[in-house]
Amino acid sequence: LVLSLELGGACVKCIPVEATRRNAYTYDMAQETKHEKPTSSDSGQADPVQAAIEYGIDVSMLRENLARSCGERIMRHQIALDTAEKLRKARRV
Amino acid sequence: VSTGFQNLLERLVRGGVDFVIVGGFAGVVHGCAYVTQDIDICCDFSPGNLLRLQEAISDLHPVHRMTSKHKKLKLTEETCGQLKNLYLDTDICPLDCLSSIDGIGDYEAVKQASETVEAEAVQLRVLSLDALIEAKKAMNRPRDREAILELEAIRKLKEAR
Repeated sequence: LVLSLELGGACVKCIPVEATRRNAYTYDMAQETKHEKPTSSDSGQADPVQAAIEYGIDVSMLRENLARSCGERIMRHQIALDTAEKLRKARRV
Repeated sequence: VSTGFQNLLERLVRGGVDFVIVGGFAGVVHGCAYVTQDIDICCDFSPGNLLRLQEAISDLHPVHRMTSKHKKLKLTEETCGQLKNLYLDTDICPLDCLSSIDGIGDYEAVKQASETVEAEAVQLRVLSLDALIEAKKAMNRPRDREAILELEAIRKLKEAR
């Protein structure tokens, strides 16, 4: 249901299709990334990873993508896009 | 046989088109988890390059997406000289061709700020992560700000690897 609502916003170019999984991971990600917090001497700015987590971005998916080759990232993006297109065209039964 | 975006990009490469992947899809190549429906490229807007681009995608029924009747793409040496951007639709996906990128500059500057990646044995030029963040900051639309969060997180994660 959440996915279909997001697809309804087709006017935006980029659709965070996998956003449906974000909340479930937030706690785990926060635990996992605790060690990545910079010390205050690193910079005057917040840790970008922590900032992304607080915004609701599923950083675990970014990590997984970084472990993949560019070709794999493009292929997986295509699968997600094709799935979104199929759902967009689907009829309610 | 490749499909989708990969297929379109391979056509451009094999057609000898001088281009750099920019925009949302460049973020995908760098590891972003969002989905984008189109490909943005920055390319050399010389007549020769634009005619090669036209030839490379000719069988994908390219049309001018922004025109009311989706006018067919029919570039000539003369009309190429008047163009700054091309907003196309093809059988595969929309394809936006830009002559410059905010925050980076013209095609030569964009090319300088790009890196080469390999996907399915095809070498593709993509705007570097740092340059993409700069470009997104220069655009500063709401969706750019969300992309910046992902891209900056990716940069940090890459540094930590």
